[in-house]
Amino acid sequence: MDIFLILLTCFAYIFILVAYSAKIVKYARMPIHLRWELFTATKTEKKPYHHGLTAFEAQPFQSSRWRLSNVWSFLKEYLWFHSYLSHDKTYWCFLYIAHIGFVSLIIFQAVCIATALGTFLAHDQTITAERATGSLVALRILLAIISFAAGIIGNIGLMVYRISHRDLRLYTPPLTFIGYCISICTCLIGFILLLTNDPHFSGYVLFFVGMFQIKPIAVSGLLGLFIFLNMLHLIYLPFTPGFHYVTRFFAFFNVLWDTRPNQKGSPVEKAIGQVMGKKITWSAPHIKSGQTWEQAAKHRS
Amino acid sequence: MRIEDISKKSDQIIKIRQSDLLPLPYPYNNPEKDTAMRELSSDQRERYEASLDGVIGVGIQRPSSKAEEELFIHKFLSGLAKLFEKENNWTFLHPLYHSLEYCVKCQICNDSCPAYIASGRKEIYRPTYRPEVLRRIVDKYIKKKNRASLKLTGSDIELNWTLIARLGELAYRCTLCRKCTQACPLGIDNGLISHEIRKVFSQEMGIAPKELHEQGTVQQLKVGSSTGINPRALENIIEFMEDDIEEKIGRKIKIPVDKKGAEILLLHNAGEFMSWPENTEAFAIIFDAAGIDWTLSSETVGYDAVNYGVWYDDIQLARVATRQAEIARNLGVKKINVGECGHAHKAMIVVADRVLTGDLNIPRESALPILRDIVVGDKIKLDSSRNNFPITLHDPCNMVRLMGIVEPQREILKKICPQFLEMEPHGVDNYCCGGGSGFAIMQSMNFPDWRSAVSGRIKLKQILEVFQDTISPDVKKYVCAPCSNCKGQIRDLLNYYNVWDECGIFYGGLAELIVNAMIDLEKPFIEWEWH
Repeated sequence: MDIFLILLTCFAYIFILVAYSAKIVKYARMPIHLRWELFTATKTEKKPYHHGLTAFEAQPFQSSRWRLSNVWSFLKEYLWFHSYLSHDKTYWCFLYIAHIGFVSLIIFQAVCIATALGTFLAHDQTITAERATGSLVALRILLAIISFAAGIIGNIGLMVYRISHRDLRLYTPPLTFIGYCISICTCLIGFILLLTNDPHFSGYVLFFVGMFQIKPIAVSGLLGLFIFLNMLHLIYLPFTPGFHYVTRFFAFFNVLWDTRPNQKGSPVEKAIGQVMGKKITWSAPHIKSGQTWEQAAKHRS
Repeated sequence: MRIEDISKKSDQIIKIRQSDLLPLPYPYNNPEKDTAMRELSSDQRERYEASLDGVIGVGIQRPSSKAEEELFIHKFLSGLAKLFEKENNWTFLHPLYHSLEYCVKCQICNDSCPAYIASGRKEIYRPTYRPEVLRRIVDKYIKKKNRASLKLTGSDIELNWTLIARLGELAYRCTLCRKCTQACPLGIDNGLISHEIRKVFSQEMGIAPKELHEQGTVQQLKVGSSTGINPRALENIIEFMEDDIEEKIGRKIKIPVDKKGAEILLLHNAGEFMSWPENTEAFAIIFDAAGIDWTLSSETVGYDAVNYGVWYDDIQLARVATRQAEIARNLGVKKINVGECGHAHKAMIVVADRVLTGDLNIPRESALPILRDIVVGDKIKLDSSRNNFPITLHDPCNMVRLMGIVEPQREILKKICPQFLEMEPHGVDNYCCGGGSGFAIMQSMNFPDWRSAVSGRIKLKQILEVFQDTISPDVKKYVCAPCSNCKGQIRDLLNYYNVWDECGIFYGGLAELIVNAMIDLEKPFIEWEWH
């Protein structure tokens, strides 16, 4: 059982790392696209623009002021879920709480792993549960309380909200509800552990110490279930749209706010030259399959 | 209804009932005054796919044999696969991939969609509906996910002729205004999904509304303009315009054509020459008075700014933009300026920026900043009291939300129109006129009724609301729409509800208002004659 949990933990961390890295690489290697931006970032700006997103006013859109304005819009969404707040306060409330729970759970795990790593690197062969609590014990407990409480309230709230609103229910796949259930169960068991079994979560730290030492340390059944569910949640994440934390960065900065003009000798021009040389195989009657984009663009019939 | 119902054979998925539609303000607050949409004839229903909402926009013909039906499905899937290939769809691969994969279906975008709200929130018009159907097809038939995965991700859907045909029609119930994209905190572009579905139909299956393709880009590339105006006809039109200008302002103006080395090549939507020559005449009067060095082109394609390719076909987009740029290069002009046409702004100035390379990458901008510099810089003498009637401004989505030309038109109106009123919402938050993405020119069967009764309804509501204090027909009012397609849609909208007679609301462009305020004109330039 202990070996299984260690293997599962290793697999979950490697899996999520590989899956997310693959997604990042996929995004980073996307070809240049036609300009398709939106002019919404300037809602926060006072300066009246006259020429729009053209080379005639390229300078403001390449300026640090413009970029800062974009970054500010982005941060408002990232940190405060601004659009949700202004659209639907109840949904925002549960969503925000659930996300606080999720982020806290990640930090909580990071703190546990950091403590375990510190213990492991100190080559301490006489490790005990009491000593493994370490100096970050208060932070660990605080994070545990926040993540479990927020995880339970937020995910139950989101689940009930999605079920009770037809607009949301119709479009929510079973996988999302499974995700809510895993989160709720993880947090509930975490809470029980905290209140009854292991108030300092020192057993969890010891588990990681055992993992680093490749000498599994026995964990209680309840902690074992907590670890299992937690890792299941990590494995589940790449199958959801949850990676929007990262992909939306590309969507905003590389598409919706991508105002880079095609200037002579610029990287943009070089990238366009490359894609215009690609061959098309569209087969509608007005398209000659096998031509390059450049040839197709100059085709007259 | 459920999402998967789109593939189930039935007479019609939804019915648009008058009682469901968004209520309008006075004097249209009495539902009896509302105009009913035309029903399709049984012959039309038999020949074309009409089981989505009882409206025909594209006109997809029913297959005559099982083999034809299977070929239709095969072609759709083959085109859909190409959407995810770098070679075939580098143009939009990145935003398409993101929009399909990362929508969390929070439905925050719903309130942005003019068709969805105005229809009484019909499920099929919901901004997330099309993407959800497409995502399910992609998961099952392109990614070929296994049965368990399909169940877990809610991606099970049955692909058949009915679904594809309905989806093809449904792609033409979204005006690509992208207000939903603006609302999305994750940067999901549901408008783009409609655009990409249209591309599969056009670029692979050879299906597109004839007004956009055969009579649109194909005719433009062959004859010179989607209106059918050829270079010879243009010559006659320009002669007519010169005579008309002389009659209106009392002096002759020579409209420059094919002037080599001019500062500006002005590209008008050729629809203006046909339907609203007063707009192109107004530009000529203003540019002449301000001493602008400009020219029109008489070359095929060079006198029509439109580029319908931006709505449905990337190849056609590239062809039209390339031809327009070649003409500008051959004339040796310093820059291209686009007249009052929103989609031409977006297509030529912004989207085509990544198609035009080398010597074809000629500077391109809107004509609005030039008009603004002339008016605000007092380069011509104007008297605002000549425009002393209630005026409101419609913001064309392509120019404003999608391009950022927000202020020039406002600075002009504030200077020359003492009774200028903003409709709500406005600027980048505006609602589409309902005629975006080609709808304004699509005249197929009962489609014009749909765009007046449904997609344009919010715009009508906004217009009526802003003029509520002076709603009597005795007070003449003006909706300024600096975009040819929006103007066409607003004309049809006002006509459909008989708003000119009921409320005295007229419509027109921006340049006409500037000329109307010129102090050396003996009679008003705006004639208030419904057309």
